[in-house]
Amino acid sequence: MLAILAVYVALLCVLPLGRLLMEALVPGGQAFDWALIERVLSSRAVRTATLQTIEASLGATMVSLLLGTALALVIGVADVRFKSLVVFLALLPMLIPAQISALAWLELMGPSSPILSPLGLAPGAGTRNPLYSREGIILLMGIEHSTIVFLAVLAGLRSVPADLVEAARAAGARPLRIVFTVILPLLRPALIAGGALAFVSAIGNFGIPALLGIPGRYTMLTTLIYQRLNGFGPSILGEVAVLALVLAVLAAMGLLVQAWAMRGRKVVIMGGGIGSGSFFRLRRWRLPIEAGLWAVLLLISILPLVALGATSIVQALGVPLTLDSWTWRHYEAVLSSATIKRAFGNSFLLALGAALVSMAVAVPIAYYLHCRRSALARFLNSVADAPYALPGIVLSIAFILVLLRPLPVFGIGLYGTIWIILAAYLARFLALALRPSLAGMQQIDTALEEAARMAGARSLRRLATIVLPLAAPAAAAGAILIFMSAFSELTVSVLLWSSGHETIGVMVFNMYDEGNATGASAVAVLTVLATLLSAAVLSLLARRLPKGILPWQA
Amino acid sequence: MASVSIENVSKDFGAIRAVDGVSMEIASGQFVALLGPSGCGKTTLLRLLAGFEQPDMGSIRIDDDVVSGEGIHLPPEDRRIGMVFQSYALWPHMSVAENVAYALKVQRIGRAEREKIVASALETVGLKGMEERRPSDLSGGQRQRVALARCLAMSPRLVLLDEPLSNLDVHLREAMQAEFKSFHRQTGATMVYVTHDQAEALALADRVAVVMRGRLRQFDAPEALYRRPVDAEVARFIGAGMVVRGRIVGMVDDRHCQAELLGVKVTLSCTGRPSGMADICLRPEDLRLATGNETSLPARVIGTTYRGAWHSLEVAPQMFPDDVLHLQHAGRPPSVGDLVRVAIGSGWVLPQG
Ligand SMILES: Nc1ncnc2c1ncn2[C@@H]1O[C@H](COP(=O)(O)OP(=O)(O)O)[C@@H](O)[C@H]1O
Ligand SMILES: [Mg+2]
Repeated sequence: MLAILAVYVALLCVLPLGRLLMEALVPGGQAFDWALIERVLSSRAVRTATLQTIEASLGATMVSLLLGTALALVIGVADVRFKSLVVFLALLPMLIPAQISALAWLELMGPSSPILSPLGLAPGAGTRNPLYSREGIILLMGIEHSTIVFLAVLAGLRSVPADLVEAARAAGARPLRIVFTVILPLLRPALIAGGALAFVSAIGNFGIPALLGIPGRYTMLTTLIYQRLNGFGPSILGEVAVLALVLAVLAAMGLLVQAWAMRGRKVVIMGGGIGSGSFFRLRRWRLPIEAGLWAVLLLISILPLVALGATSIVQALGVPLTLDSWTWRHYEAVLSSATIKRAFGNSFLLALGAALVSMAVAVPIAYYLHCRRSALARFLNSVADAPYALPGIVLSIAFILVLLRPLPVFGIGLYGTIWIILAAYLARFLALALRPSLAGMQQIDTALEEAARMAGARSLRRLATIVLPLAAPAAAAGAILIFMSAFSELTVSVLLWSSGHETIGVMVFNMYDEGNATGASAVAVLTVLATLLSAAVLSLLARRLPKGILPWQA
Repeated sequence: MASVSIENVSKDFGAIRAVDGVSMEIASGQFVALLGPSGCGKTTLLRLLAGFEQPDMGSIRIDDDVVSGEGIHLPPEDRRIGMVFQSYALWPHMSVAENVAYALKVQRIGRAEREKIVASALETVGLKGMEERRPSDLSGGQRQRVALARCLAMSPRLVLLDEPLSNLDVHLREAMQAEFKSFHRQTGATMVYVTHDQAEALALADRVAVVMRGRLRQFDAPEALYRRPVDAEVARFIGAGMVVRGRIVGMVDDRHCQAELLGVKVTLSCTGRPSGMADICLRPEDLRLATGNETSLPARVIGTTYRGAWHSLEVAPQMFPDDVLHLQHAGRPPSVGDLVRVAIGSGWVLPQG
């Protein structure tokens, strides 16, 4: 059993990434050769893209750190009202895929903005959208990944011992001083780790640089890879592999910083941390602070979606939206298009397949890891992190390299079929399946399984009758989380799709690219609805889940 | 019902020797308590019996079949041993009846037969009518009973219990102790019961094994353990024994000797032929306040505690103020600071060497 799981992980998670490394370092397949790397890296376009990737990602990380920390501090330690709703809104940018956020923001800030135009605030007709710029990319990626910092800081707050803050209050310090002299210093590891993860996410982001940077002529590594591969086809795979490697190295550096910041942090705080309740009473400051909080949330989470929704029902771009001028026309067009229906079907099946297979693999691995303390399972668990932590575009190139030629034994070619997308999804989302599975296992008292052993039950029976039923809620949550991520995913499939095998993420991107903003908005709205629906189902499960599986369950 | 034979078993966890060269013979149908301070290796010994741990040395036999050691390790599921876990380990997704029936399903026992066994097991522990409840809807004592019924239903030849009462309220413990006794009477199963509570061990077991730092220190009937501990540490652990130095003067008969203790001459129980200086174990009931002019030693009262039927007195002998003695005194207690006379009625000379 464990052997089969090991082969599965090796084939999906190790082999493609290894192949990518080979392609870049040993281009001829014979000997180690710097030549290719040197040639690729000496290109001006590559250097510009690399520098711009770093520049925009660092900028975005700063935005994420400021925004995420501020939101987490206010929500985590102050007595603001409607906490669940506020947390949900703060995390909404995470639920909405990057290309859809980008689209929504473009509609919000553009010359034909259905929200700014009536207010007379939109840029003049015919002018360029101000988001088509480095600053636009930084702002949007910063908002998108602020959720990572937000979650890291919230978790960090929970591990700040309450008595440290109480001691500062007893010493007479006011809340603001305590935040700067006690809480923030204690949060430093969480801030560094969250910032590093936000940076890794930013360099791997495709949706935002694609929608904003391509028209804005601000190329980043992900978009450069996309453009090269789109323009020249698989013939330049070697060169693209080097670019992917650069991206992977940048990501690895970020991940190292994150691991370093979190080293040795598994201490359990006795007593309780702050950040689990309303530590500070704001009193007369509550109203102004709540107003500020809602203004920020309105801007980052609500207005873009409103603009997206509005764009999907205007008569035509630039025509103002009034009570009697709106139309379902774009939805009708979208829903009667065979291509789009096919894309929805593809994404649905891909997401469902990825969710079910990943859980079927992850639960036994988690079982061997936790209940059997298998070292191999522990290793598989950490290996599976790589395809999730690395930028999705790196993973797709790895899969193209492996699957471009027909499979050795079977002689079947998967390149250009839907199966290559599924394979890449299985690799990418395994880590997402393992986390809840492990959390689910960890809350099962080992004595429960031992009791079944005493009753004479062998391992398969114990798995089926004791472990699986108990781990089921967590596994179901994992499956839904994967479904949500995969359903609207773009970064992996954008390089792997082929005609007839589009995903919905690709569809939105292509429609916008072709100038059909209203149609793209309609599809995006439908996608967002599906995502929110999945989130709602998850929330219904929440009561039966171990802590820490649902990110918005703060 | 099974006999168990443990031969020179050791178990290491890294640098820690959790169980150190333990040998013991448990006769079929015996109720044995493993008693020792927390961390002494009781649970590890129990898990070695269950088969969850493999000994690093030595062997374990059940009914003369080797189950561990000599290159053999029978997995727990093949040992036909019942176990009651400290946390009860009831499966939360199954009803009470399903919990109890689980082992029977594993053994492929037919439905009718199964239902009969489950019903009778639940009846035995007084849980009739609770079949469809979930463990989460039960009180601590009821959960404990389900765990017992689950064990009972599989009619094991050996039952292991790991501190089964430690999660219960004090007043529930007495009731459950009676439950365990009747369980033992009814099933006749060999039972090994882990506890750190000596009152529990002495009340329940036929034989008590005192374990300290991984070693088996004494394996005896409760009374023998109390009256005749093998060394000072066991004497102090069991029943708050006091240990004082004394000089053996001569033998009275095979089992009694004369000794000089805290400045007075007394007759003590002993084994063998002790001589010279020896450690002597005194129990509170060996001591009393002297009346008249019997042989006694002067002591100063340093504390009195009301215990209901009696007062427990703490006194410091005038000549040996460091050897604080405890005794029980019915009737009006002296005041702290009073000078009293203490008579030593009996005592036990700890084996020498
Ligand atoms: N699985 C284990 N790994 C490492 N050390 C253990 C393990 N189980 C027990 N120990 C150690 O062995 C010693 C005995 O433990 P245990 O048998 O649980 O004691 P008791 O049940 O008497 O309290 C302790 O020092 C404990 O820390
Ligand atoms: Mg124990």
